[in-house]
Amino acid sequence: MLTWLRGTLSTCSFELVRSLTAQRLILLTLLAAFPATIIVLIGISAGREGLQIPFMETLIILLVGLVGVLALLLTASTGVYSELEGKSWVYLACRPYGRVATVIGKYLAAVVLSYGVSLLATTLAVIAAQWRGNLPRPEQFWFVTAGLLFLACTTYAALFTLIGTLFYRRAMVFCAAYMIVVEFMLANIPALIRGLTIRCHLQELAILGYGWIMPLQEEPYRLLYGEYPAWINFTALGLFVALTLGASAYFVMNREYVTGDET
Amino acid sequence: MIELQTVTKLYGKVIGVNEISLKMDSGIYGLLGPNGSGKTTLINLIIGQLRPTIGRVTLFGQDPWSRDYLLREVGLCPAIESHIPRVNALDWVTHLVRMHGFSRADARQRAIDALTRMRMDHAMKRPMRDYSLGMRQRVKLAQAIAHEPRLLILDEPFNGLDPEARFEMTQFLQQWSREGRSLILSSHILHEVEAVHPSFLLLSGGRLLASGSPDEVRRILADSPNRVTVRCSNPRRLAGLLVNSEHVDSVRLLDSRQSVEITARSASPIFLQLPDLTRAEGIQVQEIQSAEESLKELFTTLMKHHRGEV
Repeated sequence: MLTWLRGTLSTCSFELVRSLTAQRLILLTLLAAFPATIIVLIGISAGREGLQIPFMETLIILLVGLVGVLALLLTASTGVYSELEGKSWVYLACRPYGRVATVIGKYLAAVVLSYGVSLLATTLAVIAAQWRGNLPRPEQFWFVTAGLLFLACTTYAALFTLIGTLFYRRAMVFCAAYMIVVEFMLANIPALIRGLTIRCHLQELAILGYGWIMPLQEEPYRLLYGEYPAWINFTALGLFVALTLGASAYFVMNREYVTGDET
Repeated sequence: MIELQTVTKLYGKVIGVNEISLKMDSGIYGLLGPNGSGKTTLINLIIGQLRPTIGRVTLFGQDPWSRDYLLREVGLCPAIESHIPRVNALDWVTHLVRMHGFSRADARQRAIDALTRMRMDHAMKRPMRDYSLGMRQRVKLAQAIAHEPRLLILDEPFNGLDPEARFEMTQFLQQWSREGRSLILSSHILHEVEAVHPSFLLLSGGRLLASGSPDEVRRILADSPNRVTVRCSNPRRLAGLLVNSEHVDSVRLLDSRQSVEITARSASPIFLQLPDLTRAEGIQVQEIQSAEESLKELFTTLMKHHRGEV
């Protein structure tokens, strides 16, 4: 257990140090600045009156969510493949519990990186929105968004890690396809099955956190929002992380990865 | 230490290794075979990176596929060149040692010790992308020995090394064997492996063709015909002298009668006879070529043995 834990932490810190290059930092900073740029541009085009508060809040959430997903696609989905492509997998796999430590360590590094970028994006976006004077309680909005982003990053990173372990050659494509089909389309179906999506639970928590009042007496709203209490949403997300990471560990342990020209 | 029981590994329809059975006690082993003979597959089976399609592999008495902790006792220096840009050797080796469960401080000290032993102390804080092939090979070896394994496995460690680095590598391997630790050395170059006096495992086409000490392998080859080509000032005269030798099966003039090819049961008696014969007759020898040291020749002979043709 200690060996595995140390291997995991070592992988995480090694990956973080390795990723802190000027090129990568510039890319992530540009990504983080994207929501603020859009908000400023929309704010300028909206003129002196500015934008409506719900629209601005929704826009920030959507944009920083997109930034988080993009950062995760770059970091979490390519964990196994980057090592196989770089032919360094064999050095990690020949350590005790090295395969699992690599996958989980890279997952942690992806969470730290994507959450850091998302948090920076949120901060810049809130500052940009506040510059136009559109958020009544910017601190509370920032804290709730930061909390939701943490949940989103940990959960989606676990999902992308599993996809990256199973379909390592086309991980990004499969992750993007999953996001479109399951997290976008399936999560909008007013049925019990939407409870299996991550977005459903994050959305429920967002309604509670932001204090949005939804017209739940109306049929479409009642079916799409306000189904589960907060503890169920937290438990569902926690279970999702545990199950996907457990499955990733199982698959990476029981799969043969051919790393080079076998001679 | 290692046991394989009728192990076969298939990659789809391609055979990696074919019905290999062997038992390896602690010691020094040379895994020899031409490229594509199944050496890396065999190594990956031993360290549990591959699961045999048929048969059973045990390492230290246990199944390496399902007993990951066995890798604590194994150091592997793979043949493949990996790309680890923007990282210096010290950080990389420290990271890999930490994955064995050592604390950060302990792992760093072990990494420094191993890199110093590999004479990389002067460059260990430079990015690895700036290293020469020989330097990268030394770093690869450092990461394999830093956690002091019981068994060191080196897959083609001489690849890309200049003569000086080859000499140093040989010295290191001889030192390792003197320390009483186990070693599996995979190569396709016979004389490099011979320098550490191992027991041989000879692979070709995924099959184990022969195994044993160098003497045992030579005994296998003793009855196989060997060819020696001598380029000299008077090949016709030399051929006449050699044809009477009891060790010679046949002689043939080659290259417009510039050299003579001798076929013999064993090349060694020919080499012993040649100086006396040439000195007595005043024949100047310009070049002697023996096919005996060629691994290709060796494996051709072994394959003939395997098929029952010899």
